[in-house]
Amino acid sequence: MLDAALQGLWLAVQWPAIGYLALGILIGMYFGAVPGLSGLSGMAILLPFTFGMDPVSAFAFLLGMYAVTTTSDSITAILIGVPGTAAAQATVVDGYPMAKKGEASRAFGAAFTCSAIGGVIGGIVMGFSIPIVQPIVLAFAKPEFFMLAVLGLTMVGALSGGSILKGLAVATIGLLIANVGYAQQVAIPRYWLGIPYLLDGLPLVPVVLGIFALPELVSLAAGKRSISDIPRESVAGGLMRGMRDAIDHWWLLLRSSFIGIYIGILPALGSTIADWVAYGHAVQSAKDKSQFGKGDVRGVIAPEAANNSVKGGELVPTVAFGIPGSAPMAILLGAFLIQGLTPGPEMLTLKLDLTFSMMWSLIFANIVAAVLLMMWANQLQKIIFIRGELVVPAIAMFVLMGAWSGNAQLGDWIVLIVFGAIGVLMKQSGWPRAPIVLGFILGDIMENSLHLSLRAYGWAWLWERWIVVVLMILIVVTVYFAIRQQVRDRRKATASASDAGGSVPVLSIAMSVLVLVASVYSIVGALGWPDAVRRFPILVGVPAVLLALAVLFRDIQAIRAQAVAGTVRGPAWLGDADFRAELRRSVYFFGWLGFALVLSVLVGQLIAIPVFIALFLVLWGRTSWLFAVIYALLCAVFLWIVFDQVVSTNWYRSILLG
Amino acid sequence: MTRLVVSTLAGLALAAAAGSGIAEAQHYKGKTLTILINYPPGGPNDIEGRLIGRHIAKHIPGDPTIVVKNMAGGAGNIGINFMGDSAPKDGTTMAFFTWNPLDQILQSEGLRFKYEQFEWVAGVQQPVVVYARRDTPPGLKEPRDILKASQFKAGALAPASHGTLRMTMSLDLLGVNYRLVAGYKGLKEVETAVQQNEVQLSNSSLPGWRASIDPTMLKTGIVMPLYHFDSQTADSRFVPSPALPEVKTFLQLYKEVKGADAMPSGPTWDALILINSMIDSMFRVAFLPPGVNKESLAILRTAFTNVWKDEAFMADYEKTVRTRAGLVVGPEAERAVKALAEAKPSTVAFIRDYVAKMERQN
Repeated sequence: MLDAALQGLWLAVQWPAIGYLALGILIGMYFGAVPGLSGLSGMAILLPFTFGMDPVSAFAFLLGMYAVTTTSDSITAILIGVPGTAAAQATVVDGYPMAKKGEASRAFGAAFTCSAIGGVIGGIVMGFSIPIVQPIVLAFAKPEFFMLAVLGLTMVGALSGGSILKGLAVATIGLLIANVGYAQQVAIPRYWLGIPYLLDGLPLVPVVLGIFALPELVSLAAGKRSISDIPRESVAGGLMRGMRDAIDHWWLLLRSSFIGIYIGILPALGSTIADWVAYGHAVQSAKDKSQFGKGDVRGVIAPEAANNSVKGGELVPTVAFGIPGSAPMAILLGAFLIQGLTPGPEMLTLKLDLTFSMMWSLIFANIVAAVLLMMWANQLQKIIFIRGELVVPAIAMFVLMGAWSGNAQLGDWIVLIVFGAIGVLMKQSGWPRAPIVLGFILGDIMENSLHLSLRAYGWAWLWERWIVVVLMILIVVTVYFAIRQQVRDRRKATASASDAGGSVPVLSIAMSVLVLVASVYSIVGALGWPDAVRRFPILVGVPAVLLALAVLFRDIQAIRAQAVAGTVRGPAWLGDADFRAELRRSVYFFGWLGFALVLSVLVGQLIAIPVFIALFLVLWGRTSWLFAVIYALLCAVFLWIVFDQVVSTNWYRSILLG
Repeated sequence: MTRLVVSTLAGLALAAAAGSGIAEAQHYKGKTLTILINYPPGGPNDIEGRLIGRHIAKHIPGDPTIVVKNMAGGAGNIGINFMGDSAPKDGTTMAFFTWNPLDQILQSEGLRFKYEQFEWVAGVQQPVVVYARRDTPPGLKEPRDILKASQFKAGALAPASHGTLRMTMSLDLLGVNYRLVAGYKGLKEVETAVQQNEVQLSNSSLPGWRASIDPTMLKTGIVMPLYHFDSQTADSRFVPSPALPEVKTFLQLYKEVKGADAMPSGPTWDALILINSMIDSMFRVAFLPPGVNKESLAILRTAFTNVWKDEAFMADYEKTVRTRAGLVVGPEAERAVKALAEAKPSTVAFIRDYVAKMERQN
């Protein structure tokens, strides 16, 4: 096998393969860094160009591109709280707070190092595990997938915030919103409110950007400050510090890499959840959990290692059995066919050297991208010290275009704004936001696996399959330890309003009521449907109602306690004066987004977005007209080149200009 | 879930077709022909569409720039509705879709147009194979042994998809004792389930059969093909598909089991013939919006005919899809659509009841 590995290396460094690899890396860094583009769109766009290439070059080109999108996607995740691709969602949770503390460079150092190491480990494991991995892949059928999803959700739900109840309640809401649109079994539309757009279900990217990115954008716009809360002079530790962090936490880095590989190997789970599971693991295994969500470097290390290593894992079932681990891998499968190659035993015998050349491509790409990004990091991180109002319009442009890449329909923007409002509410009231997104991603997979498990095995799969039983035990253990930890923490902390989220109980109550109404509505709406259609919403809706009631009870208790202590009076229910002012400005900001939307309907996005940017800069940011116009023109050129020329976006056909 | 933006394929092989009329040559000159795909990037529909996109320009007088875009969602119906109400009618937007005529039969809410309203360019044929694990108890040595098997599980996509219906209807006609596990999300997923022995029988389209099942499960002796569906000629004869000489047809197996003179009849058979006649002759379809100019229609029909004769295209196509698929053009394509438009009400009612029953049970 070592022989084949060396032959693979020899193939990978030949011209033109190495040239295509380099080109692929540059393209991949770009696709990762721009929110709205991703490894998936990259694969789709590059695939046709590989028709004429030899197999080694073709895979070097595609894998070079695909390997590094999850390295560069941490740039925007850390700097502006917008994940560059879906795989960087978990990086935002601690990466962005690090930038707020002025530690963007440190976060970059850790992220790029972990991406590189994770990716390299993923590549090596991929190369050497393909021959032996068949039993693992075949052992994971539908029942195992269902339980694994429950475990992932429980980990993130129970661990990602201060309150287990809230975390789990949010997770169930994520599962419920995944039910919007046509049911999988019978073409019955669920919870579509009479809006045709919703028949297809909610689109992932606008929901994620709404929940995560918009709230950060709002506070940046409303808060009258730069992304970094502290000035540049007092920032301690840069790139080198981050690299040292990665090395200091080598054991976490290694475990996260293997989590990524493992999730990649299991087909259909895909890379969008690897970062979350690794993040959940980092929190679970940490002794001191207090800094997670506030800028703990371990919250960057784990997801960044996992979202690069997952790609090596994804290649394993793709190459070994022709079972794609994710959507981009399905496209890669197309490349196999185009090259006249057959995934399967042939790749492990006759074509083993080619298989190993893929391993080397992954390894080189991961290292090169990390080194290049390290070199640019210092320039990139400067934006966190610029006045917030000046960066807001550019970020808003990325967020709007990212959401537009969902379906290129106006509904994408409305979903973005609605979930943005929910995200703001959750953020201000101390509800964890990660579980809702993970639940949303897993909802489909879970409903489908549950349905097929029941059809194929009855209920017997719950006790007859040992992997399912082991996973169930892990779920119980996870919940047990999470509760124990929380009880300890609470004993330590005095009877402050910690469980109400620490900020504003009234807002938290509003959120509880929202969860309660949504879950009751989902149960009531489901009653009349056939079994296969209503089973999942009811199965999730019932615990959702109970969890919402429990949180509501806690919140009311907290308010009572405050009332008794005399800390809450009159308008102070909505927080102090500063907080209320920020809340007011948040509402105005949503007005601005609504303006951008209406203007786009009238004159189209290529005009509306730059106009929005210019007006926002002058009226909100109090800049000069000249500055605003130049800024807006640059954005317009960028929009046109990136989204019109490079990828032919379907722009909105406006009323006035067509 | 996502419709992805997709690049221009500008600058690809732009050679003028010799001998075309001047007016024709002017028609697409300097224009962009957008080929729309109603499924996401990377799927078989997308790959085939892009292949055609790479080769078709040189068969269209005037060298248009070809752009391939994806408009996925609504089980393919978002794209179909777009072609019906929003696509420009100047011949610059052509659909290369996977159609689902069952949506029309079942009057699905998602489909706002009737297929016969469109202007049909061509259709690509693609037979379907039903296959089973050899170790399905008590064990299969030849296709007819499937009748001896009892209570095995048949895996499929959603109950209301044509692949599922053709599989269950044909198994019903043979009198096979099976339990349906429907709801897998793609044929690849069903394949994995067969490999895991979660289900023992399923069906696949020809490219899936050749490119994926053949190397991983046929050569290794895990599965055997049972039958493929007979296609019906214009004069109503049933013939095997030339692409699958080694696999029996459904009727061959039926006669083997029930006697040489036996012939299926009744509403299930009528329904199966109807679905076969639509899907087998056209698995993927190319059409233009209603009311498009006749010139574009004629040019694109000719272009399809010629691209199918183009050896460079065929070589690429065969490499990718692993088979040379047949093509139906113009009037022949319209015939399949007519079968849909003129389906007997009793057959349509039968299919609706059949699907409703299956959805209740599954």
